[in-house]
Amino acid sequence: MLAVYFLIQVLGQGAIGAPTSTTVPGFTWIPGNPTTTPPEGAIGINLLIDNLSAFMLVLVSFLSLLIAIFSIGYMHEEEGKPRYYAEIALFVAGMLGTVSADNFLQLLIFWEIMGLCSYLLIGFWYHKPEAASAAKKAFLVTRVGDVLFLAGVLIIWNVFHTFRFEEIVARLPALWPSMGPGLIQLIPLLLFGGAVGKSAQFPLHAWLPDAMEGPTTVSALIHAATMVKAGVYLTARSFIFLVPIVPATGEVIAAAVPWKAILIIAGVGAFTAIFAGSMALASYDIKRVLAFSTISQLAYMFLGLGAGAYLMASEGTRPGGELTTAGYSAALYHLTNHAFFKALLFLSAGSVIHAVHTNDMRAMGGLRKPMPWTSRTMLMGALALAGIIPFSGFFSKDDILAVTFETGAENPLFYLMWLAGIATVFMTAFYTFRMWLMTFHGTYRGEGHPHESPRVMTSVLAVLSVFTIGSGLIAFLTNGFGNLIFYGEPHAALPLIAPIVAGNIVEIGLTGLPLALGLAGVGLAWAVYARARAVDWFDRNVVDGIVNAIGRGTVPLGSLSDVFDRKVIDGAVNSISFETVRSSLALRTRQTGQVQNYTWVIVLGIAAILVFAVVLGLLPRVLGRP
Amino acid sequence: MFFLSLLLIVPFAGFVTVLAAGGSLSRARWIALAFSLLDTAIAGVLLLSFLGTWFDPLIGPRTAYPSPAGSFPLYYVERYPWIPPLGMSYILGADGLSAPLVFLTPLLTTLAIVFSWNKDVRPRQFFALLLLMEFSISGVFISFDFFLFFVFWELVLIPMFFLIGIWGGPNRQYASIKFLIYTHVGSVIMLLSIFALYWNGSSAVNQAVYGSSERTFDMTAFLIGATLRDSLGRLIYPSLIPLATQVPIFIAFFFGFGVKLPMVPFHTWLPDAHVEAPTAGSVILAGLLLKMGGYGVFRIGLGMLPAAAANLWWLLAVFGTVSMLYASFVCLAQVDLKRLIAYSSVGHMGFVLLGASSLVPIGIAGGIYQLFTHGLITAVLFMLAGTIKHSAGTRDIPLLQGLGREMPQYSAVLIVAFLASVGLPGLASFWSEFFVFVGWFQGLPTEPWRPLILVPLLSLGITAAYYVWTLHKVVMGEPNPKLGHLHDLNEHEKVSYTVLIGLIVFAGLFPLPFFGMIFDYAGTIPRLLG
Repeated sequence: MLAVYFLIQVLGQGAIGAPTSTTVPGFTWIPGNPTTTPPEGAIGINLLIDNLSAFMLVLVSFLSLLIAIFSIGYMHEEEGKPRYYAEIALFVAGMLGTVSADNFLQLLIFWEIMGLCSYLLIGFWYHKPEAASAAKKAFLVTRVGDVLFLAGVLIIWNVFHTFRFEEIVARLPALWPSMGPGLIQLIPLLLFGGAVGKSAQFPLHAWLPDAMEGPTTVSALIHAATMVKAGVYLTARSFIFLVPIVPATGEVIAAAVPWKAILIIAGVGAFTAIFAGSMALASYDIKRVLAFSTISQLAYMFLGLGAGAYLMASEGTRPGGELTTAGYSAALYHLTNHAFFKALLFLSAGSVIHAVHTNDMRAMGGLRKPMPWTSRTMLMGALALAGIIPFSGFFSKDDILAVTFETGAENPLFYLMWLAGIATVFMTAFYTFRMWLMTFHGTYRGEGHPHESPRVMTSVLAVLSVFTIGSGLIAFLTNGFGNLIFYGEPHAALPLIAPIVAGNIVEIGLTGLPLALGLAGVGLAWAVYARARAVDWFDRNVVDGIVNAIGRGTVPLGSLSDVFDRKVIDGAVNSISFETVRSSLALRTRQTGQVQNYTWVIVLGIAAILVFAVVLGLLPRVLGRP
Repeated sequence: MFFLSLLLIVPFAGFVTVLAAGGSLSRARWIALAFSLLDTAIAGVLLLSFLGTWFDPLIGPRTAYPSPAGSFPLYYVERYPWIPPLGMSYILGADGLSAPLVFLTPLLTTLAIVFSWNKDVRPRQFFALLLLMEFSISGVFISFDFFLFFVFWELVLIPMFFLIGIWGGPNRQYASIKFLIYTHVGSVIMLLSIFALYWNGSSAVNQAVYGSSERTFDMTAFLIGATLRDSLGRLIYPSLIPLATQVPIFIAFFFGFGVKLPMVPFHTWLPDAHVEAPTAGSVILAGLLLKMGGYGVFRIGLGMLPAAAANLWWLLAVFGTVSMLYASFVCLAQVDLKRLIAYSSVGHMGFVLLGASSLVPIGIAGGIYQLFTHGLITAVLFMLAGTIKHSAGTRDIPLLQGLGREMPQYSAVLIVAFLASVGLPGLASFWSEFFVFVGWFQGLPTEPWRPLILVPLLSLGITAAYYVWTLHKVVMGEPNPKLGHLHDLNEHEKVSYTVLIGLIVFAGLFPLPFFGMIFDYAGTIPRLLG
């Protein structure tokens, strides 16, 4: 299995050098119109290799390789290992299929396979009631998003008669007037609905913290580094709707830009960032802190995509305006960095949990001495998450905030979103270091004598910490991340060095301040904490309560339907039959035994049937007269 | 050429042989299995003859039916006069609509025989009735004479009535009588509409197609008549059977098929029949009997009354959507696993109506494929309900817990079957449901109704909910100590599950062969509409 990972990785790396996008034709499910090349309306599996998917392929296969190696140590004592590795392998196949799809249907198919693996892996310890409930919740909540996604895909087929990205781009300039103002907004929003479910954005975020009931390696792979990123990936792919361009001239079609949908995407991102960030402040479960933090960081990416699309569309609709894809690049840059540092954080947390056998940070503390490697690698991850220069999170987060700030000039709402982003930076630094300090600082509050994890685990942590520093520097090596991952043609990408440097100067105080406060210690933590506990209460009782209430509410509705079914519908059926029986009992008195009577009845009956038949035959003609 | 007649002769010979020679359990089951396997092989040859030419040396090339009015995409047609003065004949045929269902019939019967391998209560009658069932259901799918069709349609009720009434659960008498009377009422109304067609238009249609002005029960006359055009390229069928005649006949047929399908609100015979029926009976009831209703909608509703269907598509759509949503809601409240599966069948049959209502080839093909895939999936589901009743002594979902520990193989099959029923990609019903929705989205033109196209999608969410809830309760958690130690699957069960799950995965990964065949039929429907 590891060899397969290597192979995939090498293939992926070979592909990233490809200058333009290539489609590798694959297996055909439903053949299309044979007179056109490629067959129009064909449905099948094709591999699309462009800069985005090649990059994602490398990222996903590399991370899953590392996490599979880590699992060798982490899952050492578990039973059901074949099941675990089989499901992980199926998941990786699903994720690679998702990011290399050249059409929305294939994306949806692999998307659902990922969801299935997520369900099975969250419920890996299925005999634990919490794990079973969490798996159920994850499946059902993401299913809501999946149905919206499916609706979007169906509408896309209805309008464009194809699922392929390439053909949609080619047909959009001719077909958008037929979509009308409603569908222009609706298609990207429905696709975003799928992304909201998969990437656990408000209001479909409740499943992700619960999903932490699965093994920590699963949380690291599926619920931090890869699957939850699929929503961001999908939104990046839906740029073809967000910023509709005439391919020949590169002009933005102003009337087909779904401004409201873009605002909703960015707004959901901004709100979820601050909302989930505040939730992370209050949790004592080390994995839940990381889960809320994942939600919050994913929200940054949506904010970046939304702001980027808005900026790109508004500049493109101005005469002579240049298309800037800074937001698109920044969001995917953050996706990359986050994949590395969050995988590192989760695996470090896994290493800690492996040693102390609890998730509760109140039973940890002082682990720096017995677990020096884990402590150091987790510190790296924490610095990256908090956005401290020169760790990777700093660069991409600043890019996103810079783009958002710039978009504020187009629509003042983005200034508000920028403020939310800045506030989240503060909270992120605070909860990250609260977590690290509670775990590694002070004195040990748990039981037993924790030891450092085996070499197979710590070496993975070491490799990931190198990437946590290194992935941030890609931007410098390639003259801006935007030259590596861009939207549209390469010439449209701007070097991002300038915004980064400028952004550093503007925001370094705002980034450093909460970090300083976080490091300052527990004193301020308690003060903020009292308020955060209220947010936690809100989440548990109000938001989660609403989710559960909807769940519980549907059951009585189901029961009601059941009662209705048994009493009313079936009751009506039964009463018809009882009435029949009663009337037949009444008719039994007519059974006189006299043949003459019977003959009469037979004659009358035949007459009645004839009349009925004639009426049935004539009725249509009578009715048919206009 | 009497290739299709073999599909009737073999099971009927089996029925007679089992009755005559099947004195003991072991003899009855082996004879039944032999005949049923032979029948499956014949039906398999028929299915494969739609995909390639491998069997041409054996059965001859598959040629379209050369009617006097032009060739028609119906194959292996056999015509013999039966009661000529009344216009009744013995006509058999097969096409892309019937081939998958004709294959499903002996397949599921064979697996039902394997699954009931140790049925020691009156084995002779039991296995004989299963073969009689196979005979009559095959007859429904291949007969192309209304009278023959109706005879088979009614004959189906008799073995099923006895299967439920003799080998059923505690409340079997109520359930079997309810099943018989309810579906019989549907059949009678169908018979009236057959007569209405016979009296109103059969002679005009016969004149146009076969050049004879006799009244006829020949279904091919109506099917071919609906495709004929005059010199200006206009359809002549509306002048043979005017719309005003078609509409009431369509409604009456629709009622008959709707009871069989079943659709809400004519579905209440189904849960009772299923809960009481033995497993083999349930497999055939849900896997094949319900398909007769869907088959009728496509064959007669769309194929012979196209103008009415084009006007009354909304009727199919409304009943389909209501079935999908309502049955799924009722599923949420079920305690008995078998009742839950029975209601889920009602919901899944709603997809068939929805696909038919779209009136575009892709939606119709999705609806037909749904008939096939649901037949496979629901057979597994009812077998699973039978296994757990046998092993744990109960089907109550609250009592069953932690089966993942006690019965890992069973749980694995349960998870795959449930996910297949949810419509997970890679498994059979994904394609059928997806294409139903594609067709549904494509077929709905008018603006004020547009937002309503999203309503049927809700059922996808509810379906996932009740299945995942059930998995949560049944498979996960710690085992219920009261049930004691449970036996996992036995060999016969493993054979049945392996074959069916294999086909579900195959039909999910390679839908193309099936779709090619079904499109051959589905593609003809729009041409009937104008």
